[in-house]
Amino acid sequence: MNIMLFAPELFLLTGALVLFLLSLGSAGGGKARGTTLLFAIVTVASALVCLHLEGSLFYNAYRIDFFSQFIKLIIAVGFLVVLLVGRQLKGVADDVRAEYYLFLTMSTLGLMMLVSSVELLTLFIALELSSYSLYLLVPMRDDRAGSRMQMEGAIKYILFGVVATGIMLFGMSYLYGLTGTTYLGELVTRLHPIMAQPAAIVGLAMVLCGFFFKLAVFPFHFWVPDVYQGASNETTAFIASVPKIAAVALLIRMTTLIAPGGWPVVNLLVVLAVASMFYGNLVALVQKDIKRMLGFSGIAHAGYVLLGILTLGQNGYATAMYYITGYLVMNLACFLVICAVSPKGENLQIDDLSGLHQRSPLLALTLAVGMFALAGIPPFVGFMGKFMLLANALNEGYLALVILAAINTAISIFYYLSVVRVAYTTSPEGYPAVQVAGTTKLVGVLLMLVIIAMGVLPTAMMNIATSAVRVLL
Amino acid sequence: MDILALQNSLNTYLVLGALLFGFGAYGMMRNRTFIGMLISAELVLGGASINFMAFSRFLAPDPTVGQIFTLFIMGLAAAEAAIALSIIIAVYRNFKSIDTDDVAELEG
Amino acid sequence: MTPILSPQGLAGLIFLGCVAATIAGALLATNATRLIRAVTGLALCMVGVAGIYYFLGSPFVALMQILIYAGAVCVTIIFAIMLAEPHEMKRVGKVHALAGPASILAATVLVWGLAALGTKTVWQPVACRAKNGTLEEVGQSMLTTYSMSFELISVVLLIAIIGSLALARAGRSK
Repeated sequence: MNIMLFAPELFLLTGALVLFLLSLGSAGGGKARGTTLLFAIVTVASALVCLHLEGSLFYNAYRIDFFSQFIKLIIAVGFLVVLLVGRQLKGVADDVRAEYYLFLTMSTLGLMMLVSSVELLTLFIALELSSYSLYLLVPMRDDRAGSRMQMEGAIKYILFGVVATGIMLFGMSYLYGLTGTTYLGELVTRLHPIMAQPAAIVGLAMVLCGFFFKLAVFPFHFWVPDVYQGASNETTAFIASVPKIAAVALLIRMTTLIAPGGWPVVNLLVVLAVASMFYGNLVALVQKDIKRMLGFSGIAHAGYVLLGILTLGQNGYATAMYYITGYLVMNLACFLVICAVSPKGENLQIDDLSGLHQRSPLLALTLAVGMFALAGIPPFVGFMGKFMLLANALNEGYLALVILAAINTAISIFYYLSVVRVAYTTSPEGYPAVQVAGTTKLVGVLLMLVIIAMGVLPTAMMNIATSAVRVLL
Repeated sequence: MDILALQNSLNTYLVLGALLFGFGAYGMMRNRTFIGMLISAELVLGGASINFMAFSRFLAPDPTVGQIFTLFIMGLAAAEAAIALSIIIAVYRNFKSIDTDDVAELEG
Repeated sequence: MTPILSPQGLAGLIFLGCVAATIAGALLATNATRLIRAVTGLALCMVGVAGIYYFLGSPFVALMQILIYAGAVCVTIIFAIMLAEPHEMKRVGKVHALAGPASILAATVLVWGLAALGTKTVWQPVACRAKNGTLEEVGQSMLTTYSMSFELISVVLLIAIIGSLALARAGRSK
């Protein structure tokens, strides 16, 4: 076994082990954070080094190719940025921070293993590893301020999560019954001739449900508002960004199983995309809490991503990858501001951002860039991503869908811009000043640069995404 | 139909799996306590396990796969129950009640 | 018709008993007004499922089912009920009037759909089997083909243990 193939995961695993040992002693949060940051940087570096490796491990249950390695790199970078964004970890008590970082690392590890799994059982367990860690991160929010909603959010998250898992397992059992195998590679060849059978379609659709839950697509979105509001700002930043990358990657992997006979699944994706966009955008309009608003906007963005996936083509998949990567960056820019502005880790109402341009000009600019990008205004990445998604869907003949998505973009501009309006046009009187650390400023500037660079020069990123997706087809 | 030879037909087991799944879904929808919902969730997982075992016994070229799947589902269900119960106990500590309706700080 | 007093007939009778236990347990688990009864229902249901696993040719999985579900999971839930001392459930009047019938309807549609899917599909059995599914083969597959999952689940269980401890104790200091 070539150990290099497994290097990024191995570093994360070692990091988790060190954190576990730290959690046994009485180490404070500072040491745990330093350790996690160190291992996150090493993981990013090793993911870069291993980018072009190829191979199979563990009796072919684990496939390393450019697709998986590319997504692992994005996940590792996302993990590092989340650590930097939430480095003060205001919402979590100091004595459980070692465990907090342990679960964060484990969740990232689970996501990385998920994108390399090409066998249903391995895939299922890797998914559960990342989910269980997330379930545990939510209730770890400090309750010193008398806030108790994290517990309710957590219990709803885990119970709906288990049902989504159950649905996915049911689907897997049908696929296994039809084909007699659990390896995705063999599933493709054996499933294609019998794709017209209802059992194959229902089975596949049920398997997709597990990832719809992770991505928060419309009927599987119940947990989103409560978890976003209940979890600490730093945890929400992670839940809202990194797992979605893996969910999209897995949706792409699973939808490659759909042969031409599988049009009912495509129709299902169309319906879910439209429902997610409308539901997310319309409910986001009336939100007062900024994390809740971002949660509903995330549901809408999941709908946009489905636009790319449901075309089942190389271009559609690559655009979906591009869009979700852009979403990660835009979302993290917004959460950077939320984490920095919130004085003691409380939730922020949109009004709490009043006069931000005077309290902290750089944060206000970061917020504005993030919100403009989410709204899909040029020259930012959100615009380019939406444009390519819609153009691709139009080429594939989904005219009605494109019109509905365009209407949704128009609706969404309203609530994104109202946040920017609050930050720029209201007076800061009565709101506390904001202290911004140097690292936060640096990360904010970097995120803005990436948002603009990806929006202005999309071809480089698109070429990489296309060659990553080509591995699967 | 021979009612005493039902155990030799794949369909019996598939219907039973579907039934457990339905009971679980029903319980999730109408139960008002978190522990009640957890019990329903276990039923859903049980239904999926029966499906795996049945396919493994009647159809698959390698009948070990379904059994291994079922064993792993059991392990994960136990882990999930432990996590959910520890959260429920933490909820109770905060609210002194585990009725879902009493936990109403969040609107969603 | 299988005669009832033949070995096959008696086996069929026992099988029907297991099915009845499963369904009765599931009914009790979802409809009981007191949580402790619901847990009993879950235990009964899982014992019934264990019997069904036995009929599916896997005594080992059946044993594990009883140990893990009826043993570990149900006992843990009972402990949680005792620790959390919930009041009698005040379900009546609190729920929307349509919630009960609506969930029964939804669940019925679900069951009907899945059952129809299972019975209508023409499942293709394989002609020859490479393995028989004995316990030795299960163990071998688990440590070869599924070694990755086997290693991973240990990590998941570790996470669950640490997490439960961290949450239930509300931090290490107490």
